[in-house]
Formats: sequence, C-alpha cells, structure tokens
Amino acid sequence: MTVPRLPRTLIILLAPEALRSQIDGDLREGFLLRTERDGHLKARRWYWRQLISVDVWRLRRIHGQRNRPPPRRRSITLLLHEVSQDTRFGMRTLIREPLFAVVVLVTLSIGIGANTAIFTIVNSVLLRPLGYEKPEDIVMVFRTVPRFGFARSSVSYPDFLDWRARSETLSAMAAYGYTTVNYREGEVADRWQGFRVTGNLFPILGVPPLLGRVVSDPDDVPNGPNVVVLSHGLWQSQFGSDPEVLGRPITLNGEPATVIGIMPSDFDFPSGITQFWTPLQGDRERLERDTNFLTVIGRLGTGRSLEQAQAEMTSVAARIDAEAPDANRDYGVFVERRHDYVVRDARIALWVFMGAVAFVLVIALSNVGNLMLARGTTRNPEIAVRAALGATRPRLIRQFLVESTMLSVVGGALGLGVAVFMLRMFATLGSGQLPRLDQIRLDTTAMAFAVGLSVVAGILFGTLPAIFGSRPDVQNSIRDRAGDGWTGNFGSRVQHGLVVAEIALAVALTIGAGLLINSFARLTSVEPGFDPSNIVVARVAPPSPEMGPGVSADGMAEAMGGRQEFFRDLLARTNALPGVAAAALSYGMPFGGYTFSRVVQPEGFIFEEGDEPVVDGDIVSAGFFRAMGIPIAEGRPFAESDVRESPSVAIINHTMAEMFWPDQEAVGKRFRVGSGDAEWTTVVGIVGNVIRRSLSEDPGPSYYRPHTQAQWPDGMFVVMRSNRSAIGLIAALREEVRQLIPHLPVTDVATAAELLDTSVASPRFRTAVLAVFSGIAVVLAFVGIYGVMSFTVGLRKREIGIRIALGAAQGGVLRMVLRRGLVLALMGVVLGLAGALALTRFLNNMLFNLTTYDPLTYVTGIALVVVTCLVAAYGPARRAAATDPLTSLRYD
Amino acid sequence: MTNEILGGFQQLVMLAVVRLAEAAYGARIQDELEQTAGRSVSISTVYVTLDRLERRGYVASWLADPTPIRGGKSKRYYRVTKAGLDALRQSREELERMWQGVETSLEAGPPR
Repeated sequence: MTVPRLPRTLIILLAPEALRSQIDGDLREGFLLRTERDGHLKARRWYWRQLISVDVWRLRRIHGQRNRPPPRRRSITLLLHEVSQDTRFGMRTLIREPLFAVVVLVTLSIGIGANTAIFTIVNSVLLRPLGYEKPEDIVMVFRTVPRFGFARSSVSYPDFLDWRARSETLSAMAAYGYTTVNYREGEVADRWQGFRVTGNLFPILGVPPLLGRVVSDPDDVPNGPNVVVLSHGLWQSQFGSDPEVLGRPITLNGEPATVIGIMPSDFDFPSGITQFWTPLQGDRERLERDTNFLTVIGRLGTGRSLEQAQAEMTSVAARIDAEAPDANRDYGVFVERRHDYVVRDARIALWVFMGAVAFVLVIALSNVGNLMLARGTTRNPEIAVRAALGATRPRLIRQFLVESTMLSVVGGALGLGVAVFMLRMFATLGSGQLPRLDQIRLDTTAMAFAVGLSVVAGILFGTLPAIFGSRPDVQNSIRDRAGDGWTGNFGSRVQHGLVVAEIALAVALTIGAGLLINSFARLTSVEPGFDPSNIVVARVAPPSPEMGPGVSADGMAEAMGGRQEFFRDLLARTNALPGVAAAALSYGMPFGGYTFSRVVQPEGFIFEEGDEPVVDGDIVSAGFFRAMGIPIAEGRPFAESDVRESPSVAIINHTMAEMFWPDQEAVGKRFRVGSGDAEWTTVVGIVGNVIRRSLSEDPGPSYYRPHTQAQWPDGMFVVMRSNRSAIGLIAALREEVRQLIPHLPVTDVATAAELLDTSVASPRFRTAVLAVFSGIAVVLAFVGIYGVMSFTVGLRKREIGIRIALGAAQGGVLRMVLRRGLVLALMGVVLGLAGALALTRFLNNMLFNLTTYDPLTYVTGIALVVVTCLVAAYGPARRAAATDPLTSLRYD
Repeated sequence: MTNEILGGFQQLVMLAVVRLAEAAYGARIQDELEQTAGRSVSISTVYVTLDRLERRGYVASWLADPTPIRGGKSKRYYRVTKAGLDALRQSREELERMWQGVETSLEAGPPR
C-alpha cells in the first residue's frame, strides 16, 4: 500500500523546494486516506491526477521561503546556472571514467547513426513525394499480358493514341520510349541514352527547364524538328555547362540537331540514366499495333481516383480489343501511382531495414541504460556525500538526467557522423538497388530526427538510473539483501530484464540476417550455364538512322546487308587480336540485357491463336558457344556455311528440346519463329541451358540463330575470351572499330563476371545491410551481458568469498556464474525465437530457395548468440572464481 | 485591502480553513473541499490559492511537527486572520444583497 513511485518522483521534481516536503506529505496522507475510503485503485488514480494537474508555473511563483531566509528565487536563470553546474560536474566525472564514456558514446553513436541513416533513406525514398507538380496524381498506365504473366508491359503507339482519346478519368496522358543516339563532335564520339517523349510529357510533370525550353506539342509531329533537351549531367560532362550550347547545331546519328533546353540537376525522369529527351514524332500510319515500345504516364483528373482510372482503362482496352479483331491480343491495363511504381520492391526492404535498426537502437539504449545503472550504484558514496552536504533528491536526479542527456547529445552528434558515413556506404553499395538514391541527403528532417532521438534516448536511459541511483539507501539494500543476489533488488531485476531483451532482439536479427546470408549463398552457387571467367564484352552499334521502328521489311533487309558485312569484318579483326583466345558476336548477353522473346511454332504442333509458346531468342556468331564456354550437347555449332542463301538453322537449349521433343532426337526437327508463315528453321544442335536474367529464375526455353541469317534492329555485343586479363582487350577493340567506322562508340563494356555480379547486387545489398546490423546487435549484446555479469559478480564478491572460504571449488564458482549467463541467454533465445518466427515472414519474398523457417539458419543463429553470451560471461566468471576470500571479506 | 473582492474559489478555501479550525493543513483542506463542497481540486491549486490569500493577509500559517502517516514530512497549518474573516463576511453580505429578489426571477424565468 505504498505511494506510487513514479508520479511521486515527478511531483517532487516539479514542486518548488519550499513546498516540496509539505506537498509530498499531503499527497501521501491524502493517498492513504483515499486508499482506506475508496480502495487502492481509486487512490492511485487520484494520485496520478494530482501529478497531471500540477500547476508548475504558478506553484513556482510561490516564494514564501518561510524557513530559510534569504529567499531564493527559483528562476530560469538559476535553473540554467544549476544545469550548467551539473553539466560541468558531469563532464569531470565522465573524464575521470574515459572507458565508460567511450563505450557509451560508441554504442549511442552507432545506434543513433544507423537509425538516422536508415530514416534518411526511408524518408527520401518512400516518404518524400516525387519532385513533380502534384505528384500524387501522376500514374503509370501499363499493358498487361496475363497469358505471359506480364504485369507491366510496353504499349504501342496506336494503343496509346486510342487510350488517350478515350480516357476521361485521366486529364492527360503522355508516352515515352527508350532510345540511344551516337553523338559526334570533332574527335569526340559518344553514345547517349535518352527517351523519345510525346509533346505533352513535360507539361504533365510540370517541371520547368533550367535553361531554354522543354519538348512541346509543335515539336512532336512526324518529320518535325530534330531537337533535344539535355539532362544537367550530360550538359556538364559533354558541354562543360556551357549555356551557349542552346540553339547550337550538334550532330546526332550523323544528322544535325538543335539543343533547345537543359533540365535542372534533380530532374531524372524517368530514371537516373536519362541523358536527353527528344520528341517522339510518332507516325500512326507507320507504327503498328504490335510494336510495343512505349511507357505511358498520365495525370488523374480532378476528383478522380486510381480505382476509377483502373476501371475505365480496363473497359477502354476491352473495347479497343473488340474493334481490332485482326489482332486478338487479349491484354489488360494496369494503372499504378508513379510513386508506388518507382519504389516498388524497395518498400519492403526499407521497412525491414528500419525495423532492424530500431532493434539495434533498443539494444544500444538498453546497454547504455545498464551501464548507467551499474555506474549509478557504484557511485553511491559520492551520492551519499552530496546528499549529506544538502543536495536534495531532485537535484541528484537532475544530475543523473543531465549526465545522460549530455552523453546522448554528444552521442547524437557523433551519430550524425556515423549516419553520413553510412549514407555514403549506402550510396556506393546500394547504387542501382534503391530508387531515388541520388536524391538522398541528410536534410533538416533527418537532423531533427537525430536530435529528437538523442534527447529521447537521454531521457529514456537516464530515467531508471536517475531514480535508482539517487536513492541514498541503495547501498544498504545491497548489503542487507539476504538470499539470492541475482534476483535481489529491483534495479538488478531491471538490468537482467534489459539484457534478456537485448539478447532476444539480437537473436531475432541474427536469424533474419542468417536467412538472407543463406539465401544469398544459395543464389550465388547457382551455375549460370557459361564460364564467366576472362570474358569481356562491349557493344557496338553502327549507325543506321533508317532502321528505327516502323521501317519496312525491305528497308530492313537492305540495311542488314551492310551491317552484317561490318560485323563479319569486325569479328575477323577481333579474332586476330593478340591475347584473344576466342571472339564472338551476340545480340543479347546473359545478365547484360538486350534479351528478346518470340512466339515459336514447332512443326507438328497446333496451337490456338494467342496460345503459342513464347521462348527467348538470341542471335550469335559461330564461335559464340566456344567463347562463352557453353557446352554443345548434340549436333553441331553454327558454321561459316550457314549463310542467308542456305537453309535457315537454329540451335536450341535443353529446356526447349525437352519441351517440344521429349525422348526424341531434337536435332533435325523444325520450327517457325513468329506467329505467321515464316520460313521453317531446322534445329542443328542442342546446347546447355544458360540463365539470362536472374539467377533466381529457372532457365526457360531458348533458341539461337546465326547472325549471318538473321536480322536485328541495332548493335551487337563483341564477346572476347582471353587467356589473361580480359579488360586490356577493350582498347584494342576500340582501335579496330575506329578503323572500320571512325567515331563509332564502343559501349556497355563489362566483364562477364561483372555482369553476373551486378545481377546479384540487389540481394547482396540487402544481405550486407542486415548482416551488418545483426553483427552490431551481437557485439552490443556481448557488451551488455559482459557488463551486467561483471557488475553482478562485483556485487556478490562477499558472498562468493564466503563460499570459497567455506570450501567451494573454483570450478563450481565458475560454473555457477556461467550458468547464470546461460540462463539469461536462454531466456533471450526463447523470446528472440518467437520474435524471429513472427517477423521473418517479411523476408519471405527476398529469400531464394529457402523457407523463412529454415531450421539450420535458426540453430546457427541461436548458437552464435548463445556462444557469444557464454564468452561474454566467461571473463567475469573467471574473475569470480579467482576471488581471494580474505580480501573480499575484508572488503567492507 | 478589505475592498478587494474575494474570488469564489478563494472563499471556498477560506471557508474550509474556518471549518477545519485547528486541523487546517493541505491534505485536510483538499479533502474538505472535495467532501463538503464537492470540488475535486489538485493539491497544487490549493497551495497556489493559500499562497495568494496569505500574501493578502487573509490567512496565516505555521509549520508543525512531522507525523508518521505523512512519511515523516512536516505540515503547514493555516488559520484565517481577522482581516480574512472581515473579507469573508463582506463577500457574503455582498452576495446576499445581490441574491435578494433573484430567486423569484429564477423561478419565473427571464422577462418576456
């Protein structure tokens, strides 16, 4: 039936010194009276109400210092004076205990820094709106092809025009398509990546140019002006930020063009790679409905919802489908907010990170709280002296709070440094893995977050030690405590509770990170189907402006002739380069992009229209399989004799052979590429499966066609396998290209190992981040358990001394202390296990070939933490076992 | 001083002090207000009001010995001074004069 401790302490803190004792007494009396009259619960509630209704400012104005003349004014100035006194005193005590201060500051700065960094990223990527006008109304409109499972497909120009004409929920609709151009000025040749955009795209986004003007409707007409808008980055790198470039003629794809505008540096629509924008200048007559190369963006009309737009677009698509029976394409429409589209996969990953760092912060705070608690107890003599000299309890409590706040503010400042460092790390490690990463900066929001976190942390971990440490009778309660010293007073129960919580969080984090590590190991051990070592690739695209979408088949074939001749020459020269063991050409490259899929009709099969199988295709030169190290299982590779005039041939992979001709000889079978009446193509060989896009995918069916028989729209990769370091070959390749066509850029330079590596960058990034956090958590838990065990062993020195004096063996003492540590660890493990089971499901779609309940990972994670705990407890245990009974008994 | 008007709550606190006679201190005054006047007020309000009254000379106070029920804390007793009693009486007279004739209007409602 005691007075509630917390409100009492707070009231004492709030009350003016003159009235403190009386108010405390009055409230105690009132509490007891009400306990008797109304029961304990009501009395407690009454007591809390007294706290809530304390009128601090008016109470403080009471200055009838009746007993103590001269009256002291408890003004703000005095308070500030006292606080600065406390601060200086705190500094001195902290400097006297540098180890304590360093451990606390390091722990705090990691906790606060990691949280600030992740918060900054979450804020920049997920929370901050996109930098367009009314960004919440901007939506993406995709074509879906349920048959192939495509959720976000490109759109053809006629479809886009029909959508735009019929939609009422979207007030505007624009489209853009990826393109590249070869830029040339004097000796400089480069290849730019950019987008062809409709004239209304920029008005929809509502971002004004930095200089000049944007692409507008008058530019966007067939055979319109050849104009470009440059990105800020390209303007800097290629033109040295020269404003005179506006209006100056430049040469793009061998044609004169005019720069009309420069965009601001933070404009990166639709993605960071974009270097220029040029009018689409689409021609409805020449662009067909099955040439899907556009992405469509729209703006919701006033008061229109996403759902309305989705419903409307679905019915619009169905009507267009019905009106164009010649192309029974069976597609749908998917409308999605631009922001959701941009952050897509990052969302879950970022919240997982945020959860993980929150764990780290809680662990860090528990640790610091524990350290402060332990230190508070050892500071008893000092506190006792101060109390004896007249320091009141509130003053002592304030001393503790000032010290903890001081530590957390310094820790927060250091934490900002840690955050900057971590953000830099993120920017490097995570480049390409997180959208909008280039927009991340430590802004005022993040600063406020760090400062707020520091102050809250200071108060949080300062409160407990302040309350316990300032009680002058702690010393007695320790000495007089009978029985088990481990579960003795409230303070040490709190300490143990904090350690158990820390261990639990560390277990959960370790299991989470373990799952990702395990999954990553499985992912990277997948065989890609080729040998990536010592292979370097580069892409070369000879200019042919007449070969864009919409060029007639005849024009295509005509252009193809010169192109094939160029590549034949280039291949011969490359093969002759010193150091090249094998060279080849290919249109696409595993993990390097430029993959395409086609409908095929194997001979003897009849498919419903629209139901034909879709397989990956590639166009390669004869030596491709040898250069890439892809085994030919049956049949033959392509040969010099496979030319345009000879029968059409193909090589297929195992999966395709199994798919159409299981248990049969696939070599010699025939299929057609495309849904029409194309020429029959004969299978002449079967090669091993190659993964093209992602190691987590099963290799699908695919076919290869010889480049001497095929047609393709732009450049090819030159694949070179060398017998030593491959990268040196690029300079030689550039020279060969220069001799064939001067100023033709060589782009997409990479080793095959790099391409493979980039393909797992995203899971590696997630795994590394979580592994780092869980590593920090384990280290902090180690520090925590070490600190608490040391402290408790110190408190039990006398008892242990007596035990040893009475004949306890050293081994017994050692085991006793270790057992104690183990009990704490196991309690933490049980809680952590529950947490892990509940939380790891958020990792579900980040795991490859692994369930979130993988027992091995759980056992490993738990074992890691338990062993860490035992190691941490071992030091204090050995010290306890080495206790000299005489000294420890003489201690007091 | 006596022509300063006492606030309603100040009157209640002074009346509580008078009613409690020799036993008027913080906790009791607070309880008296709650039990008799039905006013649940916080201890800080009680002290703020007592302080104001004391500075106007209407109440006087002295410290008494601590008692065990208060956890060894001392208590401050209050009594109403002569000036306080005068002010209280004056307030009551003012109020009574003002109340004359009001009861009937209250029953009849506002004039129409």
